[in-house]
Amino acid sequence: MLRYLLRKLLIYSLTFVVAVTIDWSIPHLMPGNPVLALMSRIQIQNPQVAQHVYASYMRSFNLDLPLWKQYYYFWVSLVHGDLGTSIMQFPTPVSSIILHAIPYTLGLLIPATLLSWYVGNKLGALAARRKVLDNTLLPFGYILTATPYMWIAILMSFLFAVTWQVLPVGYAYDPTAGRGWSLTFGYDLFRHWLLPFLSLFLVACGGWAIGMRNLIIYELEADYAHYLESLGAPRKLVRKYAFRNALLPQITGLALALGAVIAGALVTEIVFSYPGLGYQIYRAITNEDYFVIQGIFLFIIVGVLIANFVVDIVYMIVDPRTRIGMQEGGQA
Amino acid sequence: MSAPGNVSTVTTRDELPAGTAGSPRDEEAKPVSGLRETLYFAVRNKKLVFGLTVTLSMLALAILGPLIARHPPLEYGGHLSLAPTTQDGYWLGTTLLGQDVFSQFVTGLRMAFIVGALGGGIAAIVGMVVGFTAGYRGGIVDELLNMVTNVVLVIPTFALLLVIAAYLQVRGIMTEAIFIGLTSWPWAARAVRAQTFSLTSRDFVSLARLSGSNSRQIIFKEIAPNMSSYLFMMFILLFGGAILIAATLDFIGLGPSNTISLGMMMQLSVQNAALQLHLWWWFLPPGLAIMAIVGSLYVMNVGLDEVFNPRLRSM
Amino acid sequence: MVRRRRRRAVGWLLVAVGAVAVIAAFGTGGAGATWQAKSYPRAQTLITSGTQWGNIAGMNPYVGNNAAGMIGLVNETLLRYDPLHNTYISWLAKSTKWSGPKQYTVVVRSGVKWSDGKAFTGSDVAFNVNLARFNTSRWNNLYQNLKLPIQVKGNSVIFNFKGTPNYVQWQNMIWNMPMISPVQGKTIKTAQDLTTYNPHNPIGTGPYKLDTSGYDVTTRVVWAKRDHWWASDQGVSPAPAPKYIIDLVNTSNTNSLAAVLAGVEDLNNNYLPGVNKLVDSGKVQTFFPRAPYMLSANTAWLEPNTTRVPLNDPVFRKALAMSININQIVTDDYQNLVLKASPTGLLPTWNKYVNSKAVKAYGFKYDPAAAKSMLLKAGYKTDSSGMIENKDGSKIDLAISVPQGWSDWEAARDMIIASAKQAGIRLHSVVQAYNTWQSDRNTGNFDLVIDNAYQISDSPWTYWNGIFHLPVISTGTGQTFANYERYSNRTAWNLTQQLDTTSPSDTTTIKSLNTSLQTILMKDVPMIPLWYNGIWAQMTSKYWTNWPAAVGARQYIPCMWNGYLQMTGIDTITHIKSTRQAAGG
Repeated sequence: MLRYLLRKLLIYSLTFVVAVTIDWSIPHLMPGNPVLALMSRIQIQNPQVAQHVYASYMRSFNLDLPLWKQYYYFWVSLVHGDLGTSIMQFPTPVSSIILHAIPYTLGLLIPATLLSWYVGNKLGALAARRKVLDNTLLPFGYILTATPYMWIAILMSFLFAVTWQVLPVGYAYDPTAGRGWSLTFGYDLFRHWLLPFLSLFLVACGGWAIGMRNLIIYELEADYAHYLESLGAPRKLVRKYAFRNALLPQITGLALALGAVIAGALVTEIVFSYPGLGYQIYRAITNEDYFVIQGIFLFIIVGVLIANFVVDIVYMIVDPRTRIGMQEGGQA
Repeated sequence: MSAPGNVSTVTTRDELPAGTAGSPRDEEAKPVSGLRETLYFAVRNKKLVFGLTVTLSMLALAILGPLIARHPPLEYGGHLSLAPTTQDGYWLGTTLLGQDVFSQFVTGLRMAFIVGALGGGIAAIVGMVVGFTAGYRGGIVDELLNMVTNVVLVIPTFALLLVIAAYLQVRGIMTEAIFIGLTSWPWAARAVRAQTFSLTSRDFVSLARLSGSNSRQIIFKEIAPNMSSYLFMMFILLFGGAILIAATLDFIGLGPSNTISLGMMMQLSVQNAALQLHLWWWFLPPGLAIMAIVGSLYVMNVGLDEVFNPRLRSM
Repeated sequence: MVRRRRRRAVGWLLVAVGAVAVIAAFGTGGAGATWQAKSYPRAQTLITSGTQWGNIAGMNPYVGNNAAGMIGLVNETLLRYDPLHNTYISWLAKSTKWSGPKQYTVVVRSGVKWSDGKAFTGSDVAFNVNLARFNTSRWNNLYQNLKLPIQVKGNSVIFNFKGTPNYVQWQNMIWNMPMISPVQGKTIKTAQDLTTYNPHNPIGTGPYKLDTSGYDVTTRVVWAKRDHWWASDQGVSPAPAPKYIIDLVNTSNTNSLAAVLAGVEDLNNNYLPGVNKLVDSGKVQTFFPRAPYMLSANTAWLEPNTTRVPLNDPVFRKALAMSININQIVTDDYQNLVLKASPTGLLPTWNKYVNSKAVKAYGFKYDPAAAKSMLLKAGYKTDSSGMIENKDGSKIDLAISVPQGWSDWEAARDMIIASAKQAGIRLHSVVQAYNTWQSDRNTGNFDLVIDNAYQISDSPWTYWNGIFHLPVISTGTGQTFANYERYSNRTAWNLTQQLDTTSPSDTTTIKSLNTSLQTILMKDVPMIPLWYNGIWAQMTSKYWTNWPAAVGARQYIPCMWNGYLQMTGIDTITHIKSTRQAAGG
C-alpha cells in the first residue's frame, strides 16, 4: 500500500509541476502588457516620465528579465506564498484577494457537492426500487441534469428574489448588516447563501440520482445478486450490497465532477454576485488581470489535485479489490 | 459513464479494475446479426423513442429554421422589445435592441448542434485514442497517458480559452468546438481505458494476438466492435456535454464573436435586464431549448443502454 | 449495518454543516476586521452603488479603484465646480484668485478641522501640492512650472510660477486635488509610495469618516457621519441627513437593477439598459423625467487612426461621419437615454462656446448618399459591388473595435458598420478584451475605435488637449493620455496651448480660440463625435427623497463617480431627506 501511495504522490507531483508551468505561461503567452494597463490608470501627462515609470514597473514585476528567470522567480515566490500583485486593484496582493474570496466559494462548493452526492445517490437508489418512483423521479432528474447552471440560477433569482421577494437578490449579506457572531448575522448569511447553494445542489443532484439509479439496476442484474436471491436472501440485503458496489464508480465520479461543479459555481456566483473565487476569476478574465488569473487558477489546480488524491485514498479504503490488485503488482 | 458539462449522469461500471466478477459485458460480443434484434427492442423502448423524437425535431428546426426566418439574426430592425406576434414574422418577438428573437433562436440551435457534433466528436476521437492505447498497452504508456489525462483535467479550461481569445480577433464557432473537444476528452479516455482493460484480458484477444495481428488491428477489429454500443453512447453524452459547456462559456462572454448562440442569447438577455423588464420571450426559449436537447440526449442514452444490454430490459 | 450507514450519513451532513459554519465565520471576518454585531439602521443609511467595479483597492485617492466616495466625503478639495451653472464654489479655500500675471493666491478658510482634531491650515495645502513633485502624480507637469518653495503666510498660500501659468490646468487642479492629512501623508517619500499609500483609516476634513468595522473589500465601504463638519457648522452647506453611507461593490448591471427595484439601493450609477421603461412606469427616478433622462458626462467619439490610409484623408473622414446614423444608435441602442452629439463634440454644459454659425457651415449631417458622391468626386473608385475603393483601386476594409463586453458599444459598433455600408464604406468588427483594446489604441495598432476618454470638466480645453495634443509618440508605451488618433496639426496644438495660457479674465480671446478650434475639428474631422454618454443615475424614494431634478432648486448631479462629488455630488447628499421619521432623525 505504501508503494501505491508513493507512486500516486509522485504522479500527482509531476502533474502539479506540469499544470503550474502551463498556468504560469498563460500571462506570458498573452498579447498585451499588464504594465501598460496599470500605467493608463495613473494617467501620466509627460511622455518621458511615462517611459521612466513604465521601466520601473517592468522591473518591479520582473517583466524585464528573460523568460527562464521569470519562471525561476515564480517558483521562488510560490514557495514564499507570494502570488503576485493585482493590476486592477493595485497594490492589493493576489493572495489577499484569494483569502477574501475562498470562504464564500468553499461555503458553496463543499456543502453543494457533498450533499448533492449524498442525496442524489439516495434518491437514485430509491428510484431503482419501485417503478412508480422511477417514473416520477427520473424525468425530474433528467431535466435537472440537462439544465445549464446559470439558467437555473437566473430562474431561481427571478422567482424567489425578484418576483416573490422572499430571498435576497445577491451579495453575501445584507448591505446594512453588522458582521459578528450573532444569530441575526448567521441567519442573514444563510438567507443569502441559500439560492446559490440550491442552484448548484439541484443540478448536481439530478446527475447523481440518475447515475446511481442506473448503476443499481446493473448491479441487481449481476450474477451475485441472482445467486443471493436464489439462496433466499431478503431483497433488502441484496439491494444493500448492490448499493455498496454501485457507490464505487460514484466515488471516482466525484473527483471528475469537481471540475464541472467549479465551473457551475463560477456562473452561479456571477448571477448572484456572491463574492467568491468564481466571481474574482470572472472579473480578472474580463479585465485581463494576469496575476490574479494566474494565482486563482493555481489555487484551483492545487485544490483539484488534493481532492483527487483524497478520493483516491477513499476509494482505496472502500474497495478491497484495489488493495488486492495492488498487492499483486497490478495497475492502479 | 459520467458526462462532462454537468455531474455524472449515466454511470456504468467502467471505473472498476479488470477482472471484476459479474461484468455485464461478458455476453456482449454480438456480431452484426444481432442488429435486427437490437432494432426490435429499440423501437419498443419508450425512452429511446422519446429522446430521438425530441432531438430530431430540434434538429429539423435548426436546419429549416434559419431558412424561414424573415430577418437576419443580428439585424437591428427598429421594433424594440416586441412581444411574440405574427406581425413581420417576429414569431418570438424582438430583443430590447430590436433584433429578431426567432431568428436568433434557430441560428443558436444550429450553432448548438454544430458545437455538439464537432466538440463531442473531437472529444470522442481523442478520448478513444488515448483510452485504447492506455488500456491495451498498460505499463509505462498507461502511466504517462494517465498523467496527461490528469493534467488536462486539472487545468482550468477558462485560462486556455482566455489566451486563445486574446490571440484571435475573430472567434468562430469552430474554434469554440475544437477547444471544447480538446478539453473534455479526459473522462471519455478513462471510461474507454477501463473497458479496454477488461476486454484485453479476454480469450479472443489472446487468440488474435497469437494469430499475428498487430495492436492496431486488434484494437480496431476485436476490441472496438465489442464496445461499439458503449462508444456510441459515450459520443451522445459528449455531444450533450459539449452543448452545456458551450452555453456556459458563451454566458460568461467567451463565446464566438461573429454570430449568435443560445448561450449568448441568455447572456445578452440577462445583461439587458430581460427578466426585470419582463421580456420573457428573449430569455426562456434558449434555456428551454438547451434543456430539451441535452435532456432528450440523456434520455436517449439510457434507452440505448437498455436496448444494448438485455439485463436492463426487465426494469 | 444499517446503523453504520446512518452514522456515515450523519457524518457527511455534519461535515457539510460544519463546513458552512466555519466558512461563514471565517469568510466574513476578512483580514483585520473588528467584530461588532450592530447593524446599520436602514432608514438612516444611504445605500449607493455603480462606482466600485471590482474589489476595493484601498484608501489612496491617487490610484484607481479606491473606495467610492472617499474624495468628497472624507478628503475634500479647495474649490468645487458646478458644471450646470458654470460656477466655482468656495470650499476649503475661502477665496482663490490670480493675484498677478504669474501668481495665484489661495486663502484657506479658517475654522476647518481635520478629523483628528488638528486645524486645516495653509501648510497643509502646500504639503498636498508638493506631492505633485513625484512623477507618478497627475499634476507633475504643473509642478515643474512652480517656483519653490511655496510661500505660506498663515492662511494664505501663494504660488509663483516660473513661466506663463497654465491657467486652465491649474484651475482644474485646484478643484480636483484631494487634501490628505500630512500626518498620514508624510509616509509618502518616493514616487512609488504615492501609488502604494494606503492609510488604514483616512483622516480628512469631510463630513464622513470610514467605519472600519463595516468595511469589507469584496462587498462594501461604510462611511459614518462625523459629529462636526466645518461646512454645516459655518452655514456653508446643510448637514447631510444620512447617518451612514454604504457604497456597494458593483458586480453586474442586472444585479444593480434588481437591487434598485427591491429597494436595496437608493442611488445607483450603473448604466441600466431599459431603465427608461422603469422611469416611465414610476418605479425609479432620474434627473430628467423624460428623454434624455440623464445629464451628459462625456462624448463618445469614433476615433480613426489618422496615420493610416484612407483615414489620413479628411474627405474620407468626413464622408465616414456623414454615413453614420447616430439617431438609430440613440433610439434603438440607448432607448433615448443619451443625446446625439453636436458636430463639435462639445458637451451641453459648454453650449456657450459652441459657435452655431460654424456648425451650420462645417458641421456634418447624416446623409450616406451625399457621402458616397463626395468620395467619388474626390477621386475614390467603387468596385463591382458598389463599395468604395482607394484612389489607387485597392480595397478598403477597415477594422472597428470596442472593448469586449461593453454591450451598448458593441451594438453601436454593429449599427455603424451597417449604416456605413449604405455609403459604400466597408467596415468589419474586431473583438478585443479591454486591456488589449487599450494597448492597441495607445500604440496606434487600430483602424477605428469608439472611445470616450475625455470627461466633463470646467473647460473645453480638456477636450482640445485630448484631440490635438502633440507630440505623437510612435514607440514604447505610445500615447498614454491623449491624441490616440495620432493627428498632427501644429496650428491646432498651438491654439490649444494658447488657450491654456490665456488669462481667464480675457473672455473674448477664450471664445475666439474655442471657435477656431471647433472649426478645425469640424473641417478636418480628426475625431467623429457620436453621442453623449450619460451621467447614469437612478434613484428610488423608498427611504430617501428630495433628489436632484432638472426643474427646481436642486439641480445637482446625483452621482458618486470619481470626480463628481467635488462637483455637485456632495450637494445631492446634503439635500436629501429621509422618508421615515426615525427617532433622532
